[in-house]
Amino acid sequence: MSWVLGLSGLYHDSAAVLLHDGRVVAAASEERFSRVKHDAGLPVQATRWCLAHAGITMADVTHVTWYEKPLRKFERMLVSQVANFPRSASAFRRGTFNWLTEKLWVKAAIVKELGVAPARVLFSDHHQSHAASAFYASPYAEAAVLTVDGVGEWATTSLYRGGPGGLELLGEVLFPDSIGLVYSAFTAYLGFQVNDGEYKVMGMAAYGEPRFVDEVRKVLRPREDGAFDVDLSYVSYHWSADQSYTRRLEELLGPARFPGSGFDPTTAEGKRYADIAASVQRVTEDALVAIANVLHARTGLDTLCLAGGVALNSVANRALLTRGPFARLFVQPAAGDAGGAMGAALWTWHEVMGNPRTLDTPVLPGPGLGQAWDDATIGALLTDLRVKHEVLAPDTVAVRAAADIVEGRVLGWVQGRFEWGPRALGHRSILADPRRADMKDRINARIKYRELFRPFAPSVCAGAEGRYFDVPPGGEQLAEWMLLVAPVTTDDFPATTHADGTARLHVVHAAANPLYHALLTEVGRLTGHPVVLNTSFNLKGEPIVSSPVQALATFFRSGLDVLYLGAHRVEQTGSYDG
Amino acid sequence: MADRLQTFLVRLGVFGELWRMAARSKRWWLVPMMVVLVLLGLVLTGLQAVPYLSPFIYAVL
Repeated sequence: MSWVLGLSGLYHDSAAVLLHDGRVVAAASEERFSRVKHDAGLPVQATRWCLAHAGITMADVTHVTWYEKPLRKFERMLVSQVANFPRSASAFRRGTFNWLTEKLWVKAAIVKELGVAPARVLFSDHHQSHAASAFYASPYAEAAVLTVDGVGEWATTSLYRGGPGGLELLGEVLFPDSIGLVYSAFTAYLGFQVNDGEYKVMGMAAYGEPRFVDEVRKVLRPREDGAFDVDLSYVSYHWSADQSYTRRLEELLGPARFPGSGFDPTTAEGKRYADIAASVQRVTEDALVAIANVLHARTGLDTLCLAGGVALNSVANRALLTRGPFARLFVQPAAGDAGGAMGAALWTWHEVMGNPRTLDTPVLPGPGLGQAWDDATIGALLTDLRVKHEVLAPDTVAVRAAADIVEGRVLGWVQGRFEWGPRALGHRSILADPRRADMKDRINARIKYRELFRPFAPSVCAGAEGRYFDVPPGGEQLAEWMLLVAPVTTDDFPATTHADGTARLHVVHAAANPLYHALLTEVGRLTGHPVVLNTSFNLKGEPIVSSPVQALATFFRSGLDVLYLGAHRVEQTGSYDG
Repeated sequence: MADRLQTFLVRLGVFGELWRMAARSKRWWLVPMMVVLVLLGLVLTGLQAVPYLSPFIYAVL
């Protein structure tokens, strides 16, 4: 019996993951407890919950591993700031204070805040953590492994071979040449928040044509050997904390979009932004495919495990499958920095403790790895809060919810343990009928209060996806965790079909989520299509809900019609009893 | 008191890591700057632990 805890944080997306004999038993992002989106603190609450869930104390944990090496990051920061002095002076002053008062002392903070013996604290490498999170969580004995993100300590892109002997580093691209940071610079240029709005660039890209590819390639320059360079005259992320692009980028592409301004793709200006987003997306995909070709040639393997924030780009994932050399692709649900916590724990278990892999039992038991609340607790809460509710027999929940959806209601759906990763996969979801064309605007405007151009995903019963979507071979696992975009081959689902005729698909297996599968099956019986619109249960700018209290608070602030909390059904109108 | 001493000793361990990092990267020119900054960091974190001084630390810098 051996417990290993992996931690990430102090930049963004802090998280804790607990392994028991090499299997994940609990995994949660700190934001689900703190309600601070992309929480950048130490994952104290997530850690406490992981230990409580397993019924252990910190004394039972063999190793606690931090997902990166802070001092090497500090070294990179200093080298970069010195090289760019004096224009980096402002970033140096502010960044250094943060380092000197917090980030340098991660080990002391873990010891003090979490009660860990100093000798038990280990540090993995940032990209090694990402690579471990992809490879050791995968069901493959051998695979090529690619990690791509903004930057870790120094590496921004790393190539590995994963096999029985562990992870072997084959090559890496170092800061400041970074696909992730260039994508983020364009995210800022297009008026979105860095480290949060990258999804919006992906969504905006569907409205445009990639007519600025040549210009974007002046920024992210492909090399003949498959790698890439960044022309640093267009970006400023290596010396500025406030701005990630320079005036020269605006001279190249025109004025940047003002943050928070409206986006209308039918106007010339809106079309230009969409075209730039499409061009950035295309150049990113081309760069990834070029690197994948190199990795395939180096390893000769037909499976690719992908990790790092860029692996959450579901459009690029499709490009890797359809245009790249690999037969199949694996991405674990929290491919970004939160997943580094999982990788740090898995790296410790396999490469520090020397435990061999056993592929007979999945490392990840399913997407629901977070906290759950039982029906008795939920019932007591609703009674205490005097919220009118109906208690359903457990076997009628799916039938009743399906009827609500088909009748045009929008549901909040809180069932079982909350998901690991940024996607709602039928545990903390907003659900609706995808056949209704008005549903997209209704949910964006009146329920989630977010940009109208942003798309929603369809969930579909496993086995039925081929009727509606063109899923490329080798993308099955990605579709299970909503990490793949697929062309839609029907006109039946206008609310979940994006402007370019694609959808970010979620295929639901009965074994992974029996209740949600039953709901989809019932919707299929009523409508002929086992498909629902599925989006995360949160409002704009907030983390996805985790607890019933959070769900109720979000429900009453939104335009949702009905809330399903376990077997309890709450209606929006007349909900207060007294 | 024992907890504070342990935390302080763990923080001092940063100097060992700093040495190993410099040996690995051969960026010896960074060492003086990093030692000064790490020492400053120790002072800052120490001052932050004093309740009536901590509000001024961020403002001063």
